Amino acid sequence: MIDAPKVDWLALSPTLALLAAAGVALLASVIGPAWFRRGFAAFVTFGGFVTAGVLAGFLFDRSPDAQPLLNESMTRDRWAALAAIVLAGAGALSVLVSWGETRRDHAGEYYALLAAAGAGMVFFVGASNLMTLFLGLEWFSLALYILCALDTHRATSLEAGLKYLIVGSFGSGILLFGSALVYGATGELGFAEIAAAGVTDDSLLLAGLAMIVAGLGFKASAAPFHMWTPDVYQGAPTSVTAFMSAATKVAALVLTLRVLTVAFPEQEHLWTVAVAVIAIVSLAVGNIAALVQRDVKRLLAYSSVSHAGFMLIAVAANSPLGGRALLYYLIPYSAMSIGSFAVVAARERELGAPVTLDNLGGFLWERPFLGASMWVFLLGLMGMPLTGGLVGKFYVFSAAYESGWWWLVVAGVIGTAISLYYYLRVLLAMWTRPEPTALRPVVAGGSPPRDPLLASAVFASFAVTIGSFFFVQPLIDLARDAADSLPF
Amino acid sequence: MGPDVTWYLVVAALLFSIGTLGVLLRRSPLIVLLSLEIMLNSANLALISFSRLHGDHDGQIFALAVMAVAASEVVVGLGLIVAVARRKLVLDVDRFRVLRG
Amino acid sequence: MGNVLVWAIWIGAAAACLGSGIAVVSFANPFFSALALIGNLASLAVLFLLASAEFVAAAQVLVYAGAVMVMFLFVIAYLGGRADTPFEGGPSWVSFGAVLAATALLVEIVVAIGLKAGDLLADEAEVGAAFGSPAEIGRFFLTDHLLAFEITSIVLLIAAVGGVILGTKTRAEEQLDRLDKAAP
Repeated sequence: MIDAPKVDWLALSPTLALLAAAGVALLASVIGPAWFRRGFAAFVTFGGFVTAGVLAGFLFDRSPDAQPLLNESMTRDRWAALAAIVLAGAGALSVLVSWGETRRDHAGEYYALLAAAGAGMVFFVGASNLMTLFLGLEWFSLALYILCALDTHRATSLEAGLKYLIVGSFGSGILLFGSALVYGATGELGFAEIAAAGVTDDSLLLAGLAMIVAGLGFKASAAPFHMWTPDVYQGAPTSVTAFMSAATKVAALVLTLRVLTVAFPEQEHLWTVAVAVIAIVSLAVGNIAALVQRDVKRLLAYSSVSHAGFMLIAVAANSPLGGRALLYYLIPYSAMSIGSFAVVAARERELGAPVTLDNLGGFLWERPFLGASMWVFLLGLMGMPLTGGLVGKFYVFSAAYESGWWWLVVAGVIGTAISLYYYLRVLLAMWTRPEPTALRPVVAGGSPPRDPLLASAVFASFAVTIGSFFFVQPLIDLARDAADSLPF
Repeated sequence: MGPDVTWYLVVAALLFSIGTLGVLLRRSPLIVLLSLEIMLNSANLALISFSRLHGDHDGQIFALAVMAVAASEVVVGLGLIVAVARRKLVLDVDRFRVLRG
Repeated sequence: MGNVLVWAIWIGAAAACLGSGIAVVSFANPFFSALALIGNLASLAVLFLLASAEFVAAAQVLVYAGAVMVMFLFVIAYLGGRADTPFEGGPSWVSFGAVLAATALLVEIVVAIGLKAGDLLADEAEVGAAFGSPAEIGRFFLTDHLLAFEITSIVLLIAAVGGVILGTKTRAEEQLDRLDKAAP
């Protein structure tokens, strides 16, 4: 007879809410009548994300002290809870963005997989041993591979799925071998136990650490592990791209900081340097490659690579201020990222063609609300005043400066300066009306009807982008409470 | 006594780099998937030999979980390959050039 | 005598494992690669047995070499045997970089192992006969690693759903096919 392990259901509740939503949506989209599937699945998934967010908020309130659960399989703490709230918000917005996508088959399954991916991420940010880390990673990654390839009639979507699967699995293979080496060096899988094993300058442990950092770099799309990012972001259905760009980054970066600070405090002098180098490479590669892009989704993909670099600066700072900066910055970043891809999705549906700088001409005047919101998102990604992007960048820089990384601050400032050019190109393209004489292709049947759900998602992103500037203090306080649960 | 853990690890490391080479060099997605399996299996070998070294079960449990994950990756990967073949696209990882530029 | 036998089996299995690994990566025809992978998995199972992981070895043969590889062979047969010419056109910068990266990984790991070989790796823990038995594994899966066990089932479910979704032909695809047929 074995004793049943004690399960903390509250700690698992956000994950379970999303899993339940995924299950219900999946069942409905298989056995429900055809007219019923899409609406019901979308509604249940939206409800699942909202419930998960509320439960995570409750969890945040109820877990002032970090608490390992189920033999260190996962940790109940505010760091995971706040990240789960951001993830749930990103997921809920993505459901709204997805609604306007007219997919004749698999429309219900789409939402089920979205909820399953969200559940995986919400679990992943709380993972605290190497096994649950790997399994959580594969959980949401597999769902994302399928989502990327869901438009099987488009070659680009299939390619995006296959490419993401191959590169992603390669990254998790490296992560797995690194985990095996760390397990070999310490004999432990739990993060805290690895640190407690007291192995310091062990060659196996260091090799394993390097491979774990590289494996997580693949997921956070930090250079030089970013090569899948532009192709996958471009080829995947745009609503999936919106979700991935925000949520995957949140999950991967939040967990990177957790595993590095909890499991490898003794090797701090090594991994901070490694992360700093990855940050600089990401800033350089992302910003320079974005300069020559004409496809807006690709441009935003490279911009997301450079933002991964920015947020890794906060990880490299390895301080409570760095943790605070990372979690704060992820809030407006998620909103700006989802918002901008939502606008791209709206334009794409209008044109029936990929959005490039050329066919974005006059968008600001054609669709004043969407155009103006896109302006705000891009200004926020630049780090302009009145958006949360400015505050985020400021906090990241001050965290880096406080930890003595002045050259990271310099690199960040140079990166921001370069980024002004390509963001301004998009702003300008939206401002300039196309030549009135030029014939413009019109989609047969006219442009699609206005999509109030997408507009409300854009408005919510807009509100978060601006609101995170005006309500800095409460958000920073939340981020501080969250970062306090990590041992710095 | 048979060979000690070092020998197992050397085999695991060699197998891992063989798998890595396969993923990076081959262009047929089927063979890339097979090479990914080799990578995951080499990690399993390392996990199991470490599990024997420390005399604790965690490594073996991890290896079993990895086996299930590898099977899932194969399912999705093969599903994708079949979908690509159904669209009569060329099955070549390098020739996926629509998404370049 | 027992020692020599264990060593002989080990060396045989390790050689088969590496040889079939190289075969998987270098065969032109995916069908032969998949067959070589079966050999690879079987020889790995022998190594697992020698490292007292009986249950994992059994699962390896049943699940992997059995179920997964059958699926692989089925898909390869479905697609028809199209061989791709490996390594054609001589070495390119990409392949040079790939070899470099793989070698760097190998050197890193082997150096790490070599540095450790003297102290820690030599002294193995004593384990009883029950180590690695199904009963022990099952007990851990239901207590300490309950979450891992549950997540594994979720991952498999997602993969199954994905397989079904990607395997069915959608109406959008059928429409494209009709367009293809209509166009001369």
